[in-house]
Amino acid sequence: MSDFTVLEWISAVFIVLGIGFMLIGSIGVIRLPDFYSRTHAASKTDTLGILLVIVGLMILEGFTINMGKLAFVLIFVALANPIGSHALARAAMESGLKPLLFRKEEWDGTSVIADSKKPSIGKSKQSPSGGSA
Amino acid sequence: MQTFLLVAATVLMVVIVIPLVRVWKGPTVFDRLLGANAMATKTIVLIAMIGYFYDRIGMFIDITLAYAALGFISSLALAKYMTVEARPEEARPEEAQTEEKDE
Amino acid sequence: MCLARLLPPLQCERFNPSIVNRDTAVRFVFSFVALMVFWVVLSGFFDAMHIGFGAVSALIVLATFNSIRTVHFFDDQRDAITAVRFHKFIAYVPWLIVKIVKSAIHVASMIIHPKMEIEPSMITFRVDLPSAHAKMVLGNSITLTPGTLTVDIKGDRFVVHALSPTTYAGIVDDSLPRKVLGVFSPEDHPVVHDVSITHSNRHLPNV
Repeated sequence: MSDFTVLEWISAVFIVLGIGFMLIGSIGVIRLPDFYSRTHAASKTDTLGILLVIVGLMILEGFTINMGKLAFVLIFVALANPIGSHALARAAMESGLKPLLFRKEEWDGTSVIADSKKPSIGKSKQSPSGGSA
Repeated sequence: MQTFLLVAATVLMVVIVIPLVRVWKGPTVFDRLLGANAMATKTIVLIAMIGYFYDRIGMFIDITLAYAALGFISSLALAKYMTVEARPEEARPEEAQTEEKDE
Repeated sequence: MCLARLLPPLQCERFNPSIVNRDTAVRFVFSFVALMVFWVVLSGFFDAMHIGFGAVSALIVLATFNSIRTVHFFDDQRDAITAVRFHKFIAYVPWLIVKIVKSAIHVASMIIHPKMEIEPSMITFRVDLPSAHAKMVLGNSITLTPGTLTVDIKGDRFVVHALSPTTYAGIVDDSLPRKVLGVFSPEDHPVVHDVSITHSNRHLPNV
């Protein structure tokens, strides 16, 4: 560890930060109460983590052709991830999955989660909140 | 640096496996899709890191680009498919009518 | 040569040399340079033969997509690449990155907090933006910012899911939409109006 150059230290810091953000995103996917809030953790915190790690790898690479390719990956991930999560959220909304909304003080941490476990899709009688499209 | 990358890639592998719990538990099909999507996007970084570890980044970075594009397209296609598939029955009366006419 | 024929209800326009003006020239040069940069970085060779192959490929792609470029999916859609004010756009990107990092730290701290103090809410609002591209940029910026997610855009009506009041403050107080307006248009006026924020499942907006 002690034989790192300055650039390697900087890129190592970026990689560690990025993996930390990705870890928090993964924990959020497990912990958050409903689909729409999980989308925030899964795609936004993750996107930042991925971008940080790729920037770290770019610093490690130096100024070569592979740095340009990594820059393409960076731009692609930054553009494609929000679109993908938006498409998923829109699909869920159009098929009638209701978001779970509450004030901080109304939530005791458990009961609302149990309520949201009833999947609102696949039931014909339900009036969808977003099915008007 | 090689040791650091190996450790980082191993930690990242553990991080990638965590959303599998959400794929397994659900409860809706969109939660499962979300978990799969989260795993796919993080795999992009893992492939790039493996490329650095084996010192063959020129080859692995092309795989990374292709994997990123493939994951994005499949995510969009699955979302579109699920919109049609999971829509409640009253939203598609036209299909039933056309079937009757055909008979 | 006209790919738009694959989409039956849409009209197909042939290339018309008499409509070549400054806009089309700028658009052509911009697209060609972008495609060539993509080719050169992916191929990694800089000799005349490979660059020649790249130029031919870029021209074929441009010729093929010239016909599909005239297809409009939205009423207010037009080619806005010449309408983008690039000096504003270059200033906008770092501002957005700083905002993304700030709110990512906020969202991450909310997730790992033991009590997880989130307040999910749905926000609907109408925007006053010049083109479909401006709405696309605003929607993508909202989604890219952690804590807010564009669920749907219908006409000029946005439906946004937010994780906590801190994250949607930037939309409701008009700072982010005004920056997007500045990228596309020199005039400055309030963009967001008819904001409604829902915190309860019983009063869901009719999406």
